[in-house]
Amino acid sequence: MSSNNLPQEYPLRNVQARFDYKLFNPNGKLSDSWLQNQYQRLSIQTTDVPLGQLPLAQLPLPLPIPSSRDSRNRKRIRNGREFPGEEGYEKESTDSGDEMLISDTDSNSQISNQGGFNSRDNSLAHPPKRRLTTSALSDISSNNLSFNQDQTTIDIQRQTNSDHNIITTGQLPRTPNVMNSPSHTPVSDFEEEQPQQLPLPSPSASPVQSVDTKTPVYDQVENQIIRIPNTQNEFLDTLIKLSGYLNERNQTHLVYKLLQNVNRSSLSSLNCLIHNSLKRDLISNFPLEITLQILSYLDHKTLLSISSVCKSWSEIINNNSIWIGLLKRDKFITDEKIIHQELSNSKELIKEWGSTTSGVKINLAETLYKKRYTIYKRWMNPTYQPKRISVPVTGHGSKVVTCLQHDDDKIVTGVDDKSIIIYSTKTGELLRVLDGHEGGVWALKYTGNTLVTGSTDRTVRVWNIKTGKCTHVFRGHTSTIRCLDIIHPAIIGKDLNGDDIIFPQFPLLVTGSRDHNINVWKLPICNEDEDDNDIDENIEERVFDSNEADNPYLITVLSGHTDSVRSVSGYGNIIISGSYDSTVRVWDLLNNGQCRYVLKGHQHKVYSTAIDFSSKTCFSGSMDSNINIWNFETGKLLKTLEGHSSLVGLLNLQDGVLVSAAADTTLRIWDPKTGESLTKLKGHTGAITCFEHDGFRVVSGSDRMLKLWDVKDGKCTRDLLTDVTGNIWQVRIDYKRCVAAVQRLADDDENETFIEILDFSEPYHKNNDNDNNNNNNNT
Amino acid sequence: MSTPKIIIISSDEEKFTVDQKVAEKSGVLKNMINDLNPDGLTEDFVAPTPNVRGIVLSKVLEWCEHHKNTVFPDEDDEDAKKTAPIEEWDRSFFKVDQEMLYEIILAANYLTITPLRDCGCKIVAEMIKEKSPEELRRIFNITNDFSPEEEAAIKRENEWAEDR
Repeated sequence: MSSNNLPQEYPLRNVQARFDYKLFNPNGKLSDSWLQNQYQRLSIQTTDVPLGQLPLAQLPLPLPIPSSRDSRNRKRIRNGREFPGEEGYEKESTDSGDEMLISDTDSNSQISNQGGFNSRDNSLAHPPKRRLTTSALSDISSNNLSFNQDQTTIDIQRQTNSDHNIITTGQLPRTPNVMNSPSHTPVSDFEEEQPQQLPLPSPSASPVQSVDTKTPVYDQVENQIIRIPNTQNEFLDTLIKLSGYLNERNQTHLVYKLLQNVNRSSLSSLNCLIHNSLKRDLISNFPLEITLQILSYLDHKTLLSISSVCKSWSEIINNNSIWIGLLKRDKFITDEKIIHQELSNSKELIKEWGSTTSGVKINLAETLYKKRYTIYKRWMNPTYQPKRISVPVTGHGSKVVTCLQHDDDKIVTGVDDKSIIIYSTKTGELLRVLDGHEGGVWALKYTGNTLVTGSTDRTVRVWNIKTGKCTHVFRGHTSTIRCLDIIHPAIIGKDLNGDDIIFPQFPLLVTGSRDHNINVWKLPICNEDEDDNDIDENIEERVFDSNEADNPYLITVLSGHTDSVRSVSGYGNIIISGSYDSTVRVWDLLNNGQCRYVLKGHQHKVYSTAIDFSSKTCFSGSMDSNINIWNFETGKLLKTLEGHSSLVGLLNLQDGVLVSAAADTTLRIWDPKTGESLTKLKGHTGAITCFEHDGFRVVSGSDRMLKLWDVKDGKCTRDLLTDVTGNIWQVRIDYKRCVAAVQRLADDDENETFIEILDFSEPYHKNNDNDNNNNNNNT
Repeated sequence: MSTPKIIIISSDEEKFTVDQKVAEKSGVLKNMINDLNPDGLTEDFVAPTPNVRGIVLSKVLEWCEHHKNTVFPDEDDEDAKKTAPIEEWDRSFFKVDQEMLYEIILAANYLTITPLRDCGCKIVAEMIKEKSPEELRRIFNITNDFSPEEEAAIKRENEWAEDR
């Protein structure tokens, strides 16, 4: 074959050597450490040595060696070789001094039998250097010799942890992980000499010689070269041994040089070998913070898969922070406070959702994730039947439930016949009826135990839910209060010192009325403390009129709209109001409630508003079928979302998802940032009367239908109720429940209003037994 | 006079000469350069990186060179960092064996080159993503040290995540 063809076959031939495989220090002396050779072989199998173990490997060998021999040997070695001044070489040679010492010991033991080695150790009665005990040594020496050396190596490096490790590590297979660097590895050359002696019993290899005189490196090399190999095998043997006298880096260079002469197919086979040997445990080898970062990109299924790989991986996955991160990322719980609140109730969580298998421990945050995930899956599974509680709304005839809010304990409903009715969420039991309004209740909101209601009787009432008493009556509006909002103190920016500006200082109540005005009140928060119930009981309701000059609660009246105020949304210092005058107004409470902008763009009445304070945008839905996105800082109309074909009565912005519901029987999902229409929820047959969404799912009601939709694809997942025969007045959801006020046939075949509670949170264990009947629970 | 350069020395004493801008992709180097030269560089600056091998350092610097003008998402914006896809160039940059991948990530961590570390972690995550335990053992050469009973118990315990 001509040399021109060679590059084809030998792709590495003309490749320049670089970095760690190029020739290093060509004028350096020969290395006397034969073991490097051995090490090279081993290191392919043991690549996963944490860097941190390196310094330990440099510890001097604490073998009990007679001090006279010690110094003599050291001296001889020092004399036996010249010390080149090159950097990096010095260190190596000092270390190899230690190696020589050990090898001397080993050679010694080699002459004696194993028992001799043992007895020598005992008889020496030298105080053990370091903490290597004689008992440990006898343990070691009871194994075979070549094994001993590795054990000793391991022991020495681990004894900082515990001396007891000695025995257990003694059982390790003979690939010492701690052997990281050949120049630092205090393993004797004894074990390598053994094979050398067996095939060729040359004088240099005789035990006597190896005990008495440590042949200087050049003699050894000479010995190797003198022997003329007869067979391929012997020749290879010699080559390999000779290469051991190269320093580590030049050994790599030699391999590189050899590779240059290797053809493609051989390179390919070697490549496979090398590739496989470079596999690494990329989960547990990294520092924990990197491992956690890698895991933060993975989903729960992959995490569980990782936990089933091996014990150490399972331990890594058993980490609260991973699962808390996942709960947030998957938006099951975005508020860290709620996560910790739920985790604090660990007993119940474990009892209802924890491990069913003895011996398998699942992490608490994982359990919480499992709970949230399972409940989410139940919503989306059309065959799953939630626990249902139906409560008829008290009184006669079919009543309109105009507003509804609920939490884990109570459902508060406003009815068009003046009353406010409170039910137990868990049992459906009627808890309270709040009487006082003289007209229908059309707006309601509560925070803690403080409930505010607005009515056609033109008053706003404040109630203590716990006592059921009305504590304040706010007069001032001259017509029906149709909408209200509570503004909680929030961070609205930073001052010049970089400190948070919090506004308002106390919760505010904003009420919008048909009288065109918006009133802003200081919200009197009811005492949450149970002990103070008695005091609260005695408080008679007090009436505050906005016309009174010294009204302590009225903060300001926002006037400007020229028709009914239909919707108010507030956050921080900003109030957005939508009115039948087809404008949206921006009010700034920091500026005395001045109207900052009159946003004009809608052609018809505005029915719904929403605010996203962080992006300085607000949203409005109108009878002109459009949704407008405005910047409330600049007053600019950013976008008009077209698509609905009639009145957009309802808007809801949650977790970065904007959902609108219209009288055209559809709902639409929008990206609030770009205004892009994501999906259209089609399936209702009448105007949408109510809906709620939480970023995952939308629940919407219209004539006789209560539907659940998947936000991801806009598909109707299921009908949550199939026996509705009339209107669906209200619907609210949380992660585990759907609460709706619906009209359906009662026993007397008349349409009656019911509060329906659908609960998806049945404990896992119970449900699991139901689902898997073959689970041998009864055996 | 030509602009001063940064000379980075690897653990195996390989010298790499790069522009200041390239070196300053590393938070550690940037601080080192600026702390020791508050008035700016007047001469070449030598920075040893005793934890990084030459071949690894050359890869890392290749990345820094390529990304010297890249503006990365805000450090604090966890969401933006998480959702940012891996660029095609970075993907092929990381077409290396697992040992090299491991050492690049460690080097990026040690030199505080956060975007490189993030990208490396994402690459590892992609290797793991949606793999079965058996596949993972094969990919990373891991020995299964669970008993068959333990394995069955874990499987049962993880059933909740299965699609039913």
